[in-house]
Amino acid sequence: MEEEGNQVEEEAVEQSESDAPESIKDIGTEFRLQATPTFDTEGDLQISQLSRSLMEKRASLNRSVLSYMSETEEFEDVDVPHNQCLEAEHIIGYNGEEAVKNLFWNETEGWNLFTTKNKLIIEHLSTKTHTIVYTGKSNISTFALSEDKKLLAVGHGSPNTCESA
Amino acid sequence: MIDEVNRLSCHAKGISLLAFSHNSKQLVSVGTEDEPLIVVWDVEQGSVVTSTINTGSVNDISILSNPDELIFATVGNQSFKMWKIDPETMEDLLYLDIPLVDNESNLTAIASINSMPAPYNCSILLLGDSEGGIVVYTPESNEFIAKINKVVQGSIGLI
Repeated sequence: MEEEGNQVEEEAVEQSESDAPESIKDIGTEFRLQATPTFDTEGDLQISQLSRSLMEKRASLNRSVLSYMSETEEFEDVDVPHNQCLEAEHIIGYNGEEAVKNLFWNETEGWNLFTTKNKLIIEHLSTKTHTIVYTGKSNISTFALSEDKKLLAVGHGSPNTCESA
Repeated sequence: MIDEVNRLSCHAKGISLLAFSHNSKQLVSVGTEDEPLIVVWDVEQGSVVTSTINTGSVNDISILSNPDELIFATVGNQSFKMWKIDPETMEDLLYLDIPLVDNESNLTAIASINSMPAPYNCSILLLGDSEGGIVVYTPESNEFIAKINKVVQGSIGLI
């Protein structure tokens, strides 16, 4: 698997050096095998040769990094008046640890599902009541609900397991 | 109220992201930066379908709507990838590394919209970055079609 992956990588490198794409549209759509990473000291393996060639091309043309998106300077920072910004009215739950995607709002059925520390809590918005539906052995880092909301997967940020219920 | 179906053990250093496939038969889990493992699980069997070590960070994941196969996209620091299981071997996880318009982008979030009305008439992926910008990408033609620079009062420009 590793040899095959490396071979694909080498072919991609050769192609990018000889025939750099003219635009984003010219980039191939063929999926390839994830090569097993061999970490080097430069740590620049995340940047593919293809991306590098595009970056060098922009630099040679003295174009900004957005030049492939816009030929004009339309995009400018705008100061927004304070009264046009949204402000938080309530904070429901606080993890205190690194957690992402740890809030789900079901607007049609009127409940929130969120985490705090090692607990998964459902809040019924009409009654303002909270129910702990799951307690893990370590802090919950994230969770996911299936589309039909019948399956729940809970992930832990520390060495542990993923649990589906 | 909740019955545990399976306890899935594969990530030795924790999980950072989870996503169910649209048919709920598969679950994708992403490991932490210390162990950048991406795993596709069979939910019913509680077994690993396939896994791979990712190069680079993953800040968010989105499942693409596709009735035939599981395809998902991940974003991270200078990284935007599409993933799918090799239809031939059904064991390997293949990826498509999509070069970014702004190579310095730290992509922080991704969301998919299955069908956009005219003038787009296609499914799109919205990629958010740490600078507050949003890039619009369509997997159907594999191109970036717009960028909103800053979420507030941003303008959209078509290529």
